[in-house]
Amino acid sequence: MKKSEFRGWTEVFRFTLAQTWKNRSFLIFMIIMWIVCFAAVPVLSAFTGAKKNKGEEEYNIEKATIEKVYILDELGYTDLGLKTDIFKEKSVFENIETERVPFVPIMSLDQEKDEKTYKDLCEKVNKEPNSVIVHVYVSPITGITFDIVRAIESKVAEKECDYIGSLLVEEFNRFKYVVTEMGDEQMAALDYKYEVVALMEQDDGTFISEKPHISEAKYWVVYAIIFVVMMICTTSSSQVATAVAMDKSTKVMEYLLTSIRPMALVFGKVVASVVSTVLQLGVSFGLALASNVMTKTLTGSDYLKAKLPGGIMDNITIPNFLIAIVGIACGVMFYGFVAGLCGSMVRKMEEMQESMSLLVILTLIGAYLAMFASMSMQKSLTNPLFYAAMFIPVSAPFLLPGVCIVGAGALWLRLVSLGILILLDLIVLFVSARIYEILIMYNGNKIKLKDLGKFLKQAKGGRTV
Amino acid sequence: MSFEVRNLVKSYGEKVVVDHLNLKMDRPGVYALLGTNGAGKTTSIRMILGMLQKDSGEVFFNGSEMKPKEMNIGYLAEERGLYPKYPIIDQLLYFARLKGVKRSEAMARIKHWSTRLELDEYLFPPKNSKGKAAKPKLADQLSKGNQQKVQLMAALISDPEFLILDEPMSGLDPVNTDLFKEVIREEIAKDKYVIMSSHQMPTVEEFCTDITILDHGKTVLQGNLDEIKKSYGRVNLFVKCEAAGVVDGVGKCDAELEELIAQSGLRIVEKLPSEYHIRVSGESEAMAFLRKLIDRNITIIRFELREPSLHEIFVEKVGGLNAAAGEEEGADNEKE
Repeated sequence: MKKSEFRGWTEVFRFTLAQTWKNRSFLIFMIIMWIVCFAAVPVLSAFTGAKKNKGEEEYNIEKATIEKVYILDELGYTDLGLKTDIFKEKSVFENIETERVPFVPIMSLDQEKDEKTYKDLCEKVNKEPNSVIVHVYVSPITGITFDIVRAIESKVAEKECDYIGSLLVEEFNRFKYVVTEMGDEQMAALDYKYEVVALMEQDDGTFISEKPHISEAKYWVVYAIIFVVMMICTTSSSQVATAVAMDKSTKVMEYLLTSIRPMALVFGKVVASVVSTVLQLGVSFGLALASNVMTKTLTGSDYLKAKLPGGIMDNITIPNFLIAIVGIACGVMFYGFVAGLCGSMVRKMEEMQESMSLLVILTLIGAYLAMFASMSMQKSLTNPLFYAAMFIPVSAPFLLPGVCIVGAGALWLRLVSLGILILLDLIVLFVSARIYEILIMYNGNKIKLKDLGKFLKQAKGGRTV
Repeated sequence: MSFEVRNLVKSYGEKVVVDHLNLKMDRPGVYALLGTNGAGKTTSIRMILGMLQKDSGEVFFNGSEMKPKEMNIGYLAEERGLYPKYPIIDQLLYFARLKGVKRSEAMARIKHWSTRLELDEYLFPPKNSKGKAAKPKLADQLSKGNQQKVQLMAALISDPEFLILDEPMSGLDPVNTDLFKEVIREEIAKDKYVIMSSHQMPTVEEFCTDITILDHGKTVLQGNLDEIKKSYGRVNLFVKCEAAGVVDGVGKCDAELEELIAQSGLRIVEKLPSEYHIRVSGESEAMAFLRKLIDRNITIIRFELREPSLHEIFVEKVGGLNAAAGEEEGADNEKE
C-alpha cells in the first residue's frame, strides 16, 4: 500500500466530520446523551435516596389517627438503646400514648418462645381501633423484623403504619452503628458493594487470585460495556456505509475520484467516524465523572463508588482507559472498513440494507462470542473461550474495554489483544483497499457476498494506472 | 505539450467495451469523443482519469505517463453528482481543497464563478430584513440547470490544465447553453487541453478540431474534423426557388424542380418548406444541375453546395454500422 493512496484523506476526514456535526439530528442526539450523562448521577442519587429521606410531608399525614402504640420488643433492643418510640419525635405523632409490653427476651436457642403475650396483645388491639402494636422480633426468613400490627377493623391509616415503619428502620440503622461505635465514613462504606476473593501469595510476596474469575456484579458491567460498544460500532459503521453508498449513488464519487484514491476516501470517512464516536464517548464519560464529583461535593456520598462493583473505579487508570479507548477505536475502524466495503457494493440507496449482511453477520458473531466469553469469566479467567474472544478480532473490540474496566486478566493479555486488533485493522485496510478500487466504480449486476472473493482475485494484479 | 492515448483496452468478461483506442492532441484545443450510448466514451474517460483499471494501453501527457491524481484535471461527469443535503458552498470548498486549492483562494474563486455563472443568490444569499445572513442553500434546493452550473464550477475551481467535459450542455435551456459555451470558449482561449463528449453535434462542430467516433468500443472514424469533411467532398446541395403559382395543388416551382431532380438522377435527402436538400456526387454534378435550372428559367433564391455535417457523418458511420450489424444479427437469427 503506497502513501499516495491516502493522499487527500485529511480533507475527506474534515469534510465528513464537519458535516456530521452540522447534522441537526446528530446534534440533538448528542446533546440529549450528554445531558443524560451529566444528570444521571444526581438524579439517580436523589431517586435512590428518596425513601431514606421521605418525611412527614411526603406521607401527607395531617392528623394522626393512632392514639396508642404497644411496643412488644422480643429482642430487648430497647434496653440497649433502640428508641422504639422514635416516631414520637415527629410532631404529627407527638401525642401518641406508648406502652411497652413486658416480655422475656430469648437468650438461647433452647428457650421456649413466649407466644401467649403476643396473642393476648393482638386480642386487645382488635378491640381498640385506634391502637397498633410495634412488634420487634427475629425470624429465620426475614431476619430482624419490625411489624406494625393493627386490627382488621382498625381506623388507623396504612400510610401512618408505613411512616412509623420507615422511622423505625432509620432508627435501627443508627442503632447498629452506635452499638458498634462506627464513624460516618465507616457507616457509608457499609453501603458499598463487596466481593470475596481468595488470594494466594507469590514468591515475590505479592498476592494473586487463587482462582481468577469475576463476580456476578462485574459480569453485568462487562455485559453492559459489550452492549454499548456494539451499539457504537454498529452506529458508526452504518454511518460509514451510508456515506460511501451516498457518494456512489449520488455520483459524487465520480468527481471525487479525479482527485483522490478510493482508499483515501473510505479511510477519511472511517477516521471521521472514529473521532466522532470517541469524542462522544469521551465527553459522555467525562460528564458522568464530573457529575459524580459534583454530587459528591454537594451530598458527601460517592455515588459511582457506592453503586459500582468493588474496585472498578480503581481500575480506571490511564493505561487501562487508553487500552479501552484504543480498543474501541480499533473496533470502530475494523467494522468501519467492513461497512465501507458493504457501502461500495451498493448501486443505489435502496440496496443498502441488503448489502449490509456481511457487517451484520460479523457484528453478531463478535457480540455473541464476547457475551459467552463474559459469562465464562464468572467461572474462570483462564478458560479457552475467554482467550479466544480476546484474540479473535471480531469479538475483541467488544470484550476488551469491559475487561480493562473490571480489571480482569493480565495486562499482557489486554496488550496482545489490542496488538492483534491493530494488526487486523491494517490487514483489513490493505485487503479492502484492493477491493474498493474495483467496487467503487462498479455498476454492473448486484454483488453478492460470494462475489467478493472474485473481486479480490481481480484486484490481486493491482492497478495499472 | 501533448496528450496521447495508446491502445487503450477495457473488457468486462468476454465483452470488449474499449478496443484499442488511440488518440493524440499535439496542441491545446478541444478533442471530441463521440459515439452512441454504450459506445465506450465514458469508460475511456474513466480510464484516462485513472478511475478504472485499464486492461492494457497507455496514456501520456507531455511525453510522460499521465498520473491523473498528481495533475490538475477538471472533470464534468455525464452523470451529475452533488450531495443533496449538504450546503453547496461547503461542497465546492471540499472539492477545491481536494484539488489542493487553499481555502482563501478557493473562496475567491467560488465568488468569481458564482458571479460569472449567475449563482450568487444561491451561494451568497443576501441578508434578510433583520440583517441576518440567510441559510446557505442545499444542493437539492437548486434546479437541475443550476446544479449543472455548480458542477461546472467544481470542474473549473482548480483552474485545471486539462479539462474533460462529458455532455456539458445536456439539459440546459438556450440561455444557459450560451453561458456554458462562453465559459468553454474562455477556457479554450487559455490554451487548455479539453476532451469533450457530446451528442449535440452542432456544439461539437462549434468547438472541436479533432474527433474520434466510437461504436461498440471500436474506433470507426478519427481525425481532423475539417479534413474528414473535405474527404467526403461537397455532396450536399441546398436549392430553393421562387414559388410561381400552384398547379394541381403543388407549387409550380416545386413540381418543376422535382421533375428536374428526377431527370438528373439525383436523390432528395430531405424536403424542407420550398427548399430541397439533394445529394450530389460532387461539384461537377451540381454545376450540371445548376445549368439545367437556368435553362428552364427557374428563379433560384438559394443554391448552396457544402460538405456533410458532423451529424450526417456520425449517422452514416454509426447508424450504417449498427443497421448492418442489426441485419447480420437478423440473418443469424433466421438461420437459427
